[in-house]
Formats: sequence, C-alpha cells, structure tokens
Amino acid sequence: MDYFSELFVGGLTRGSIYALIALGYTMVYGIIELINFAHGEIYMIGAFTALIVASVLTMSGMSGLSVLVLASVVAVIYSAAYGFTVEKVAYKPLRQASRLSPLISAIGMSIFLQNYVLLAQTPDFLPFPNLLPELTILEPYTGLIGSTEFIIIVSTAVIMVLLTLLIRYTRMGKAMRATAQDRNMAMLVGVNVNRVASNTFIIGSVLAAIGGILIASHIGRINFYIGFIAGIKAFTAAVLGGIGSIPGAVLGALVLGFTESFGTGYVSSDYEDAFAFILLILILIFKPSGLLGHTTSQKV
Amino acid sequence: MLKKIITSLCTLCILFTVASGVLAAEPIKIGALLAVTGPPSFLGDPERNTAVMLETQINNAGGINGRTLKVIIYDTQGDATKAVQAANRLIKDDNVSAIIGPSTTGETMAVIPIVEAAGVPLISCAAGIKITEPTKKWVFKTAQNDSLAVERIYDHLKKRNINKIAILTVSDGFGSSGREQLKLKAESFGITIVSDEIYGPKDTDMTAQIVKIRGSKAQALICWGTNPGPATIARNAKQLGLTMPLYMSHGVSSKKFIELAGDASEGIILPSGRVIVAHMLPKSDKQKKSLLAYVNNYKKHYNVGGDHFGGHAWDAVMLLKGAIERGGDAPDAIRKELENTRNFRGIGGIFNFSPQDHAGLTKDAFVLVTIKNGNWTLVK
Repeated sequence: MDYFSELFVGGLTRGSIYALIALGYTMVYGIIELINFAHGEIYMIGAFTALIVASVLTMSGMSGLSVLVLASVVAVIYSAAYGFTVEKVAYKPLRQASRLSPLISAIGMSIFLQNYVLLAQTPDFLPFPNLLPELTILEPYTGLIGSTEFIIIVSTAVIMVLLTLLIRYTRMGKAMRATAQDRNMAMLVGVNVNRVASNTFIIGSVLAAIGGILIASHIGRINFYIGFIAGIKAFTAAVLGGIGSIPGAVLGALVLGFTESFGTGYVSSDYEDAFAFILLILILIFKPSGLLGHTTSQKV
Repeated sequence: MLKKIITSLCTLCILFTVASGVLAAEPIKIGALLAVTGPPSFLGDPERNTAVMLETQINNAGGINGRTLKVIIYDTQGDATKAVQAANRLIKDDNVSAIIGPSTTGETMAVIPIVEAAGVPLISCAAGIKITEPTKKWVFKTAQNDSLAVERIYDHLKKRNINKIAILTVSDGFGSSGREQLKLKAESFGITIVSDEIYGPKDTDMTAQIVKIRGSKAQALICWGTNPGPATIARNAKQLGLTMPLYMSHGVSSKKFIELAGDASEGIILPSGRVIVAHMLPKSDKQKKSLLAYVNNYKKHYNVGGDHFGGHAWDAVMLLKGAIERGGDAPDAIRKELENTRNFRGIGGIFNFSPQDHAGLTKDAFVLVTIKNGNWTLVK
C-alpha cells in the first residue's frame, strides 16, 4: 500500500475520533448556545462505566458481542443520567444569567467530575479491553486499517447522518431548532424549553458515551484525564468547522486529522500540533464563523 | 468531663514523650522528596513505599549504630517549585542529615543549588545524566544514566548487524535527554539514525509517525518514553503490521507497560535494571541476593513485587545507612563515606562511588529483557 493512502487512512481515523466528540460539543452549542466543557468528562465517565461493566461480565464468563452490547447500554444510560443531572445542577439555574456565568459553571463541572473520578477510581492508567468485534472482511487490508478503526469511521458517519435527520425531521428536532432561533418566542408558542435543554444534554451524553467506548477500545487505556485531552482537540475541530453546525464539526475534525497526519508524514512530527493550530488561526482570520458556520445577523 | 479527659490525655502524651526521650538517643533524620502523587507517581509511589519499608526494617533490627532512623517524606507531586520548598523545609526546619530524591530529573536540577549551598548530601532517584555530570560536591544518584541504556541497546543492535535505525522520542525531559544520547552515541557504534520522529506526552495516536518510519530505510525502531505513550506506540505498530524489531527505554520497565500494551508488547526488547528478572538471574550474579530480598520483602508489605523505580530508593537509603554506620551522621562525614563506597551490591547495579564519579554505575547495571507470554525474559 502506498505512503499516501496510509497517511490518508491514519488521518481519517484521527479525524473521526475528534469528530465523535466534536459532534456533542457542537450540538449543545447549536441549540442552547452554551459551550459544555463537561462534555469530555461525560465521555470519560462513559468509558469508565463500560470498563467496569465489561470487567464484571467477562469475569462472570460472558464474552464477545453480549459484553459489548450490555456494557454499551449501561454506559449510555449512566452517561445520559449524568448529562441530565449536570444540566439541572449547573446550567438550568443560570438560564437567565449573563453568558459568562454558565461558561464558568461548565468549567467548574468539568474540574469537579475529573477529580471525582480520580478519587473514586484511580489516578493511574487502566488497560481497556478491545470490546469491538474483529471484522473478517477487512483481512485483505491488514496493515492499512484495523477493525476498530473501521468501526470508528463508519460510526462517526452514521451518527452524523442520524443527528442531522433527527434535528431536521422529527418533532423534537423542530422544537430544538425553534429554541435555537429564539428561546422566548419558542416559549410563547408552547415549546417546553426546559425539556428541549434536557433532551439536548441527554442526546449529547449518549454520543459522548458511544464515543468513549469506541475510542477507548482503539487507544486501549483510560484514566480520569482523557476527557480533558479529547475535549481540547474536539473543541478545536468544532470551532474550525463552525460551532453549531453538525456537518461542520465532522468536516473540521477531518481537516484537523488530515493536517496532523500529512504534516507529520511529509514534513516533521516536531510540528504536529503547530500545523493544526496554524490552520485554525488561518481559517478563523479568513472565515471567522468557521468552515460551515452561519454568519448570523445581529439580533436587534 | 470532656475537658478532664483531654487534659489527662495531654498529660499522658507529654509523659510518654519525655519517657521516650530519656530512653533512646536522638534519632538519625533523613529527608525524602518523592513524587508520590502527580504525573510521575509511578516513580514516587514505589519509592515512598520502599523508604517506609526500610525505615521499619532498619529500626526493628536495632537502628543504625543503636540510634533509630527517621525518614521524613514530603510529596513533591513532580513539581519543581514544590520540591524546592520541601527541600528548604527539610534543611531548615527538620535539620536532616541527608536527603533522598527527588524522583525526576527536572526537580533534582531545581533542588541542587539549595543542597550545594547548605552542604547537605543528596542522593537523587532520577536518571538524567546532567545530575552528576559535571560532578557536584554534595549530589549523588542511584538511577542508571540514560547513556548506559543507550549503549546497551546499541551493543545489541551491533550484534544483530543492524546499522540503520529510526528513533521515536517523547517531547518531555526524559525523551529529549534520551534523544540527545541516542544521537550522540550513534556514530561510535557505526549506527545511522535515518528517521528521527517525536510525539507529545499526551498523544493518543502515533500511526502517522510509524507510517513514516516504515517508509524509511530503518531496520529497527527505538522508542524513548514513559507510560502510557510507548504502550500506544506498541499497539499502533501492531495494528499497522510493523515488522522491524521494536526497542524501548528503561522508562517502561514496569508491569504496567505490559498491562497497557497487552498482546502488542510481545517481542519488544528493552534495557532494564535486574530487579524485574531477579529470579531468572544465574546464581553467580552478584546482585541476586539483594534483589530477591528486596522483591520478596516488598511483596510481603505491599502485595506486589518490588520494581525498578522503588529500587532507586532502596539503593539511596541503604547507601546512606552504610555511610552513617561507618562515619556518623554529620553531613560532611556522610558525603566522604559515600565517596568511599565500593562494591555496594544494590538494586540498580553495583555501585563504586569516588570523588570524581557520583553516579557509580557501568553499563553492566542494565540487562536486556524482552516480553514473552506477558512476562519478562532475559535476552541472551
């Protein structure tokens, strides 16, 4: 396999990983205009829950797909509960406050959750078993792409499509869009804004938990800090693509992944992070709202 | 009523302090600056455990020259500022005779000016070559130099007729020191570095670097980093089907690495202190007795075998014990006796200190090990 396609697949995997988390960031921002810094932590909690459940199930003799399904279900439900609670505790009381207050509250929530897991679990790295099945169809391509990476890329695409459909065509999506456009007006026409906010957070947390399981299976280790690290790159990707735009988040993440992969491959690994952030600065200079962001006219 | 209880308790306390003060001579106090928590806790935690274990053990056996040993431990969290504060406290408030630690090279470099000015012997548990080169009057160290590890690996590469290599180092203190040594020593072994890549300490995917290395003419890959980065590299290399032999540094010579890298760790070769393969060593090995005693003792106290890093603290405490037994606990006497230490059979190797050499080890301090069936094996 030639050098270019190897780097291409590497960049695609990296980009999809960033996108999995960026989707949650951007969706919450698009609907309630809040940067949920605790999103990375929900991802981390999802991965921890999956690890705990998977370990218990494996010890009790279960194996393969049933472990994956059960661990995912528990992790998704548990993370959704976290997302719901975080919104109720940290953001809802600040709905009418100035925009800075919920931002600070979000950072506080993020720090709190990190330290809570640090104390309740361990400060050390834990090995994470690969819960995803080995796909035999990919055997001719060994050395280019593994099953785990393939599943991550496909899942990202599927989640992006589903999320777009949900927001465009369902009743809940319509309510979300109405809230995004004008919260007061939406309330006047009978949209339950509180429920919309809760739903947004629950969906965001479900995405984070799925991301947690997929990415932890790929990396093979977790600790309390992974959410923060994943969050930085995902947030960059969301801004790059235009925060609030769902296809934008995926596009931004892929651009970031490809830049890092090709930058390392063709220039030097010394500047891996520099490439990504130079690109971010350039894009924001020429297109301040990001690649696919809308330039909203000032509200009167 | 409560007041009375408190008063009587206080009185009892005072009585006991006076009584014990009368019974025993003033204890010998040594300080320890260890990164028990924080990112380098994988170093500081076993070091602390070892120091505490030795303190009890030495005191149960009657102390040093009949005086009890007191180890005062401060957690530096791997932070140079905290290490400096704690060092000042040890010297000024606690009046210690000597200090062991800090755990990392960065912290040690920060503490050196303080101990040099105060004239207190310091035995660092960190590996950086800068600590004892050039030699400083009051500073010693027990961890093996990076350069010795590099020489071990290059020796082995030469035996296998490999002369074109790729290196992949982490962009922190440990990695850049290793990178420097790898480049410095390559020429004298007739080795060319054809690909020189780095990765960030927090990176979670190194496939781009490995793809690039695979595309170069390298016959082997040497990776220099501490957990968890190298585990990711091992997994990425396996996923990409990298066929060249993979070497790692002594920075991952703990069980955690095998745990994190899983199957991908099979066949990786790395230099390590003898401690992780203690039971496999031949009977003729001079260190075997110390090593087995340490590993088993540690296991009894903490339920896991003693490791490479805890060994640095073992060496530091035992070197001090020897020096104090011979010359008393005045700081200057300790320094002189440390410099006179010959043939000390420790965990990290056989130490021979001198006024010119405060590191005391040769490349024999390292053995090459490989990972087979999830466990360490000696490379013949």
